[in-house]
Amino acid sequence: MKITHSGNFEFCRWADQRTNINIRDHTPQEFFQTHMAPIRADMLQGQPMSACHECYDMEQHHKVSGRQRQLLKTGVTLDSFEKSLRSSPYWPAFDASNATAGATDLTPVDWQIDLGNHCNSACIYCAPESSSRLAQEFKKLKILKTEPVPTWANRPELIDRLVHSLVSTPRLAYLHFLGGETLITPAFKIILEKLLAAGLTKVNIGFTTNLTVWDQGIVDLLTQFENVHLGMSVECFHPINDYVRWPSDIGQIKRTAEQWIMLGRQHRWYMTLRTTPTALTIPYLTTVYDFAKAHDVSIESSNFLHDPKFLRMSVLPMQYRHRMADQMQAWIDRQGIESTDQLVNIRNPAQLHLQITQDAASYVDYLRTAPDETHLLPELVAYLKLLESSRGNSILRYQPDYEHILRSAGY
Amino acid sequence: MNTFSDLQAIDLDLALRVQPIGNPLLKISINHDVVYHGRLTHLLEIRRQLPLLQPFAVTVELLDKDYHSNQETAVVIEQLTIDGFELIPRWNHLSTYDNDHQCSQPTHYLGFVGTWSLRVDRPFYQWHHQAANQGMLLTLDQ
Repeated sequence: MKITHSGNFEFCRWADQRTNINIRDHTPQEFFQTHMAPIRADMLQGQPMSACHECYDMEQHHKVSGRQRQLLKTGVTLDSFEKSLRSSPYWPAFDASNATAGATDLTPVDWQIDLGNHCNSACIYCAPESSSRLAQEFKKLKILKTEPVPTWANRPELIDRLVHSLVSTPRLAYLHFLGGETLITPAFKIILEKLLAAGLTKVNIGFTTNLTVWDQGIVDLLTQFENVHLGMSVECFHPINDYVRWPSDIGQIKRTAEQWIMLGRQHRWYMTLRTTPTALTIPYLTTVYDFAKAHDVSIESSNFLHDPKFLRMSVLPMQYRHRMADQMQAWIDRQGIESTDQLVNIRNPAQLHLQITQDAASYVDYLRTAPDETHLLPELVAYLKLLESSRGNSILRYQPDYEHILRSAGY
Repeated sequence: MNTFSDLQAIDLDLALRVQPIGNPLLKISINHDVVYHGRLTHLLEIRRQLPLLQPFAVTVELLDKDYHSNQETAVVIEQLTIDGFELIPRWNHLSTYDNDHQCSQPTHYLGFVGTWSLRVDRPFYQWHHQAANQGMLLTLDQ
C-alpha cells in the first residue's frame, strides 16, 4: 500500500490510480480493509486492472514488474501461477476475501510512504509535487499549473496516526520512504524515532536518497534497525547526470555513494542504485551497471518512464535507438552471463550480475520494440529550452551526440 | 483459470531418474510408498503425482554392497524434478546421506550402503521459494 505526498492512499506503489481517500479522514486500515475491497474483488474475478498498465508494459519488455515482485512476497509467481497461488501462505486470506466481495480483516504490512516534496534537486523528469525546488522554478517560469498540495507529513497528528497504525500492525514487514529528498525531510527522522521508540527494530526500513546529502543523525537512527534497504538515485556516472538531476555534481555524487556503500557494508544493508532512464541518459545506463558491479550493489531501475512523455526513450529516432540497443547488447555479451529463467527476486545479492544483465536486456528490448514517439521531440526541446533559460546551461554541452536530433526539432 | 473460484486443487508432478552402476540392490520410496525394490540393471525413470500441499520425502536406499568384490556398485540420482523444477543435482546440498562410511558430504552419487533422502517439509512451492532464495515470504502466522 502507498500513502502519497498529499496523504491519499493508493493500493499499490506502482499503480496508476488516484484516490481521494486521505489519512486526514480515514485510517490506513479503513482504506485497506474496505476501500480496497472492490479492487481485490476485481482481481479475484480475473479482471485486468487498468491501474496496473505500467507493470503490464514492463512485463511486455521482459522487465521484472512491481506486481511480480509483490506477488512473490506472498509466494505467488506468474510462471506457476495456479499452483503457487494455492500454495501461498496467504491462501486462507485470499479465500476469505473471495467469499466477502474483496473485504479482509488483515492490515497492510508492506508500504511506500511518500513524505512530501522537500527537495534540494530539480530533476528534469520530476514534478512539483515531488520537488519543492522544481515547484519554485516552475513558479518562476510561470508553468506551475497548481500549487502542490501541502504534504500530510508536515502535520504531527497525521504522523502520529500513521505511526500508530504501523505499530499496531501484526507482522509489519517493509516500509519504504520516499521524498522529495528523505534526508532533508523532517518527517523521515521523526517517524524513524517513533518506530524505534515503539521497539520496531525488526521491520525492514527502506529509503531512497539523492546522494547530495549526508545526515549523521539519521544515519545513527538507521543503524539501529536490523534490516535497512538503501536506495541511491543516480541516472548515470557521466556529467549528463548533473544536467538531468540538476544541480548535482557527479564527482560529489560518486563520493557520497561510496560513503553510503561503506556504511551499508558495515551494517549489512541491502543496497541498490535507482535509476530512471530517459531519452537523455539511456546511452550511459551501462555506467550505472558497471558501478553496481564494481561495488557489489544491485540495480532497481524504475518503470519505463510514463510521464513526462517527451522524456521517454521512445522519442529518439529509431536509428539512434537501434544503435544504443546494439551497444547495450554488446555490453551484455561482454558480461558472459548465460540467460536463464527470469529472476524475479531482484534483491538476491547472490544473483547480482544476472540481475543487472537482465535489467539491461529489458532496455534493449524496449529500445528495439517500443512504439515510435519522435513526434514528441519538439515538446522535449521546448521544455529543455525553458528550463535552460532558468538554469543557464545547455544540453549540447552534456550530450553533443544529440545535436542533430535536437536542432531538427527546434533547439 | 479465469477467476479465483475456478482454481482447482492440483497435484505436483514428480520425476526421478536413477542410473545404476553395476547391479545395485535398491529401495526407492516416496513418502512411505515403496516405488522400487530390487536389483537395478538399467536406467530407471519414475513419475508420480503428489498432493500439492503435502510435505514429502524421496528416499533412495542402497541396501547392500560387497566393498571388496564389487567396488563399482553404486547408484546415481541423475535427476529429481518437481513440476519441471530441478531439485537434484542442483540442490544436492539440501539432501542428506546416512551411510556405513559416515560420509555425510552432500551428493547424488551413492556408493555406500545407506539412505539418501530429500525432505520437503512444507508445501512444495513455499519450500521452493526458500530454496531458490526468492526473498521474504509473508505469512499469516502470529
